[in-house]
Amino acid sequence: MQNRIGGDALRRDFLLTSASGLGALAFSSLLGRDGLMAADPPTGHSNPLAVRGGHFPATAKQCIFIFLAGAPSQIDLLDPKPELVRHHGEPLPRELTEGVRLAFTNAKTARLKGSPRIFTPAGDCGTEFSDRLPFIARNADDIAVVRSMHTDEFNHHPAQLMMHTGVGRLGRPSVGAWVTYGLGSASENLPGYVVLSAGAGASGGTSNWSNGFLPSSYRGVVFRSQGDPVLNLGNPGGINRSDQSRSLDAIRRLNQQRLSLTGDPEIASRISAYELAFRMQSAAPELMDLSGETRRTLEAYGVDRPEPSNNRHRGYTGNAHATFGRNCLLARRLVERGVRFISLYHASWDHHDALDKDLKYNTSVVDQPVGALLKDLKQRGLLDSTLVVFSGEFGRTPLADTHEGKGQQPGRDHHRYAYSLWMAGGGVRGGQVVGRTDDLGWAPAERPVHVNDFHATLLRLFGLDHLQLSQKFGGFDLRLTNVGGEVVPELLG
Amino acid sequence: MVGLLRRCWFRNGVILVAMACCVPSAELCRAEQPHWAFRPIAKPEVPDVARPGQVLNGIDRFILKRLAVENVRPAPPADPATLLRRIHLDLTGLPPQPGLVKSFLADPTREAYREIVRRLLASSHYGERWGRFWLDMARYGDSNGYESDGIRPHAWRYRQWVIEALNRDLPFDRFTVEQLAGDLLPDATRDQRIATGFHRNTLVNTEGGVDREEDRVKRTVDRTNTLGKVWLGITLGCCQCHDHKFDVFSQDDYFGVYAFFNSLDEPLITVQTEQESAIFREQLEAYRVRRAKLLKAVAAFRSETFTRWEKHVLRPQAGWEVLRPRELVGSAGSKLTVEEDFSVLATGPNSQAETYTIRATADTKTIRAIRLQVLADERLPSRGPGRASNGNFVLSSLRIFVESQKANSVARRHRLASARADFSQNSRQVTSVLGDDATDGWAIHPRVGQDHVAVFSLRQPIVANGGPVRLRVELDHRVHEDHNIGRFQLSVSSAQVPLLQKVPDTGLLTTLKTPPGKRTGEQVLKLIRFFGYREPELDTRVAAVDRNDKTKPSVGELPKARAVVERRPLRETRLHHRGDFLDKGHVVRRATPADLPPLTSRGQVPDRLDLARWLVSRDNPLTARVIVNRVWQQYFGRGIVPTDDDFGSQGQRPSHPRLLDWLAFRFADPDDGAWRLKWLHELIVTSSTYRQSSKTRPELGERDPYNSWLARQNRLRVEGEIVRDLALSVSGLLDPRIGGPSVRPPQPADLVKLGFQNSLAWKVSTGGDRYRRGLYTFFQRTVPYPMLVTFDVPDSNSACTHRERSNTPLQALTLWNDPVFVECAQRLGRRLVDSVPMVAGIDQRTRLVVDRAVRLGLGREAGRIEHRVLGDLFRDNLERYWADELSARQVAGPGKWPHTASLAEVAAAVGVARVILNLDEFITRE
Repeated sequence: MQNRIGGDALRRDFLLTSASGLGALAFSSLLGRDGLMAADPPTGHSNPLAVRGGHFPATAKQCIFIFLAGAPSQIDLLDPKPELVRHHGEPLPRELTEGVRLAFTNAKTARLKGSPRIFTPAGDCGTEFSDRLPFIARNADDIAVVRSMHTDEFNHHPAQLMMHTGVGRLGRPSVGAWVTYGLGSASENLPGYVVLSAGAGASGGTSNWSNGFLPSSYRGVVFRSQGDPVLNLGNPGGINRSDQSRSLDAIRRLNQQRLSLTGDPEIASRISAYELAFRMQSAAPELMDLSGETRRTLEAYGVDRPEPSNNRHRGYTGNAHATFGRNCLLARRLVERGVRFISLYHASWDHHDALDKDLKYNTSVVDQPVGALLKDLKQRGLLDSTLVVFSGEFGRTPLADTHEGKGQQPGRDHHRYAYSLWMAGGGVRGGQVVGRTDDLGWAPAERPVHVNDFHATLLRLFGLDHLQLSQKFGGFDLRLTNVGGEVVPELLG
Repeated sequence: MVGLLRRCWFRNGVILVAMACCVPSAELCRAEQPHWAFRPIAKPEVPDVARPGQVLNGIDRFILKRLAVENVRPAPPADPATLLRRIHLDLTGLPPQPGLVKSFLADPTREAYREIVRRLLASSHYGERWGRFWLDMARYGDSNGYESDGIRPHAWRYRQWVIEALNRDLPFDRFTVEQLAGDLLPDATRDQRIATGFHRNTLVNTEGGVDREEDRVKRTVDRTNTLGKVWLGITLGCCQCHDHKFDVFSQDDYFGVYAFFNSLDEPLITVQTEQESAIFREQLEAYRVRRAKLLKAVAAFRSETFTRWEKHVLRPQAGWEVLRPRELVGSAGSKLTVEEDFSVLATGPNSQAETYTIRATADTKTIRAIRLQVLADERLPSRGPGRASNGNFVLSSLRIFVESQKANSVARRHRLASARADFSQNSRQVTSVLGDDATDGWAIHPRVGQDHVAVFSLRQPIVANGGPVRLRVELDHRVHEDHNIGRFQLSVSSAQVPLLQKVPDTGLLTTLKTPPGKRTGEQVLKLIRFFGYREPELDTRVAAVDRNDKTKPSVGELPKARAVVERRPLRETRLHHRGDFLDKGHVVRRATPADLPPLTSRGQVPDRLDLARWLVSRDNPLTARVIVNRVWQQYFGRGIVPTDDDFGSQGQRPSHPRLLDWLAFRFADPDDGAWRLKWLHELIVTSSTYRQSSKTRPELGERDPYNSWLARQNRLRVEGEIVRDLALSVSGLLDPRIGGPSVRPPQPADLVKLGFQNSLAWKVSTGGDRYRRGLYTFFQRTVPYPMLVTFDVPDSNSACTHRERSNTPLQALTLWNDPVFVECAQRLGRRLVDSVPMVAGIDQRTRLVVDRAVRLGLGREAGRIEHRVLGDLFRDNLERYWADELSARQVAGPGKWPHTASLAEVAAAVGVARVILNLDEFITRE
């Protein structure tokens, strides 16, 4: 609903108080103070992305959020279940079927499906990873796997919204918007929140990186997934940088005049957008130019990997391998340039059928570059301050999906009761597994972690108190963790 | 539990119904009084207000009443220049002409304003602006979507209908009926059938391997959801969010509506008028006559060198014997005919499970291989060689038999050993033809529109037993409906290892066998092209043929439109268990949701026409409220019901419920608004509520943060298409023609080089078509025009009832550097200096340039700040470009400039123009 006037108007209130700098405002509102309205409209503009501190000392300064839309199977990747293998083909114990709702599968008639994958302990910590994640597994000692995640939503779009905004409904700001709103961004020349995607899009679409009711400067800026990530960076012929600068100056002065006449803070957002666009003109080509990267780096990320000849996966024909590899490398470069929050998307993980085949394909897209990214960040000393998250919107059932429309290999259905994700860097205590699911992988048996808890923890790593990072909307102080959220202390270093 | 809340979810458009088990409050909800939106619409009394002087019409009374309660005064009226630009952008999406600004500023009376409103409502541009509003809901696009995303060359006919219908103010009830059920109206007119193209805007998946039925179900689901969202303001499908947790539409309700759309057939109808088709035939005939004459000249060409050359190429192509079909049968009704080169053309019915049987006699003594050439042809869809709409085919198997002349003897089958083709589609390899597997086959997408060849070798050679061999060849098409081969030629060879040589033109063999001198012009043409023979006089004659060919009226230009018709007998609708379309439940009859007023049907089984009439019947409490609210939303940025697509119990309640009902009642009242949208527009824009200033009122920010009391207007960034229209318009580049096929304006250079999938077909339009309004931009669903995407134009994959208004640095980069906007700045720059008198001094010239820039660009007079800022910029630019002619030339861009100005001045003015196009005010309706 950010497109409606409600959102706009709220942004206006917000910006009207920004004469003394948004940082100050962010925290006056964090503290839940009233009196958001200042009497005078702002006379100048301030940088909404100016860096500011949080409530606590932060261990994470930046985030790369790798989102696998469609929901990967934790049972075949991160949560080994030998018991499940033993009971393969048997029905689900009766006590588990009561009150259960699944998307396509009838829980009462479905059969358990053990994973054919081989899990091996990795690193000094011995965390087990599937043979589909060999590159990621090499970083096991930096990774904390959470095996006891659970969510409220069992369909893609709501669950994606839940995972991004803490609530399975439209209209809320995404985690990237909240973090950028709370802390600004050290990158003066690039957006504070950048979105990159490879392969087919996620069903959540733009709502996954929405600014919700926060000002539009905090919305994720989408770089293109085909060809150049950002278009129109070059000036027209005959216009040099100083010409552009004079043009920018004139635009700013006239926009400011309009702002003081109309009081519409959307103009302040536009002024900042132009300032940023101008700086992006020199920063973005430099960002996208990979010629300075060594051949080894390019190969490690798999930037030039060919797409397997039969890549017709979920309606996408481009080269997801190369694009995702490039996106991972761009993510590191964005981190180096101070960008606060980077979201990487890869869709097509909704494996209701042909799980083995499709999982093989999908992991071959993401495993190598993500493994390379972790290693690269670490070698460059960036992992300590960069949080990397690897997650889908929910998990998949230990049952075979009974929806086998085309008579193909079976897959798994949506499962909201238990799933796994991992976090690394940014102060996360690596080399550990948090939480445990029962022997069948049906539900958390120890240390359940709700999506709101995950968000609370993520914010805590950034030095933000999830209870205080809030914004008045519709009469409520709304926050990323909605009405819940508890920090998971085991994850903190 | 039973009968409780059932929720429908979608996965890839498949309906998924999950049983909720824990929602006791839904029961409470059932028991509650009817929700406000489901109550009948009554006509409320117009309230009395304390300040009647501020009342221009009834709308204001409702608004002022509420303001009085809050003890708030309304905002003063917007200044005349703002109001004039506002009303222009709102009604036509184009800025006012400077002359009009001048006259209105001189006479900004209520009467003058009303006159302008009337004129704008009568303008054809009204239909474009409000047509685009409707096209968002109709999820209009120019391609199919999904992976292959084939284009829809005829989709625009529907857009045209929308524009024209709005321009003639077709009342909204009829507008509804014609789109939903125009085909079922008695004596449906051409236009009414085109209107049903509304249903054809769904995505269509034409990929290989797609289950046709599954895709049809998806389209039907989309149609059902669209009806709910667009007319009822109810998310029947609940596919987007949880907003409707407590609205009780059961699965039966859902499939009751679904059933109305479950029997659609989707033809391409010919919609030319008798006159149009006569003209087409005439043009085609004239072209053919010209061509025959020119070819005759080619055939008649003789020269010594040419004669020698002809003899030289006479050697027939070795190796292959073209089979001359004796007998042709299409098992499922295809009509097969032999062409002059002994190829076979398929016409007539084009159905599934089609087998072509070809009988021919071969002279080759030992046949070791058979060759199948599939041929592109203008007469086939997308030039063939297949008959599917995208030119593809799927050949599932090829069988070859030797028939004996003896009666009653059984033909002997010769198995194939291997297969090769010059090209096979990714998942449809030619080797799949070898067996009799009916689920796979050979196909050639995306390389359609060109010839392809496949060569099959036999396990055992066919040896002639003295005399010719009687062959029977069977070509099976069993994988896909309508994916039959359109034109092909068969040949046999005795070669051990037959060459997989692609012969670009298969008429060649026949030509070579025809003695020189007896060859037709067509044959000579083929011959010299293939072997590359050139001689000046012959070249001239050939060029004449080529020139004429370019004038050939294309079948693609034949007016066609995408429509729907009702299938007979009707498909049975069954509930889909667990969302699986294969897992069907009980039969569901066509019905409207139980909680809404009953449907009246004309016959025993209600149809779409009944459904459409039910939507716009006076009993229906939703349609009028929903549409009135949505129009209101366009004018104020926020609806009276802010959740315009959710009038259910989880949506927000109206800020002015009585105003909403008053508008809805009057709009639908046959003696009042009579569903006329222009009536509604006029009512809204002539209210003082609409005419208020949009300046923010900080004193109200806290009490009314959404401005829902409307104590002022709102500033709204214009839609993406209008951003483009504005730039083209103020620079004088706009081609204002109304309607017609979609066009392809320039895209950023870095994008054009991409060329993947179908986007490589982005051939930039020339002439006026380069400068058409944004709504005519070809909308390729998988690669939408980037400028539009940057400005939040919806993806058109499903109905969009309100757009986002984002504000990003990518928008700044677009307005600054996108080639379209650069060109606009260059043209606007010229306009800024074209009327400056040559004798004027530099200060005066600067003043005049700035005056004109603000007048043309922003529709108002320049103030002190503009003179200072833009004046400084102009002077600085001048200095720079006097010293740097090369840059000046580049900045000024191609084309002439006014004789009254120097090159440096033009370049300097372009700089000023560029600033204007980038101002927040420029792209904002204030």
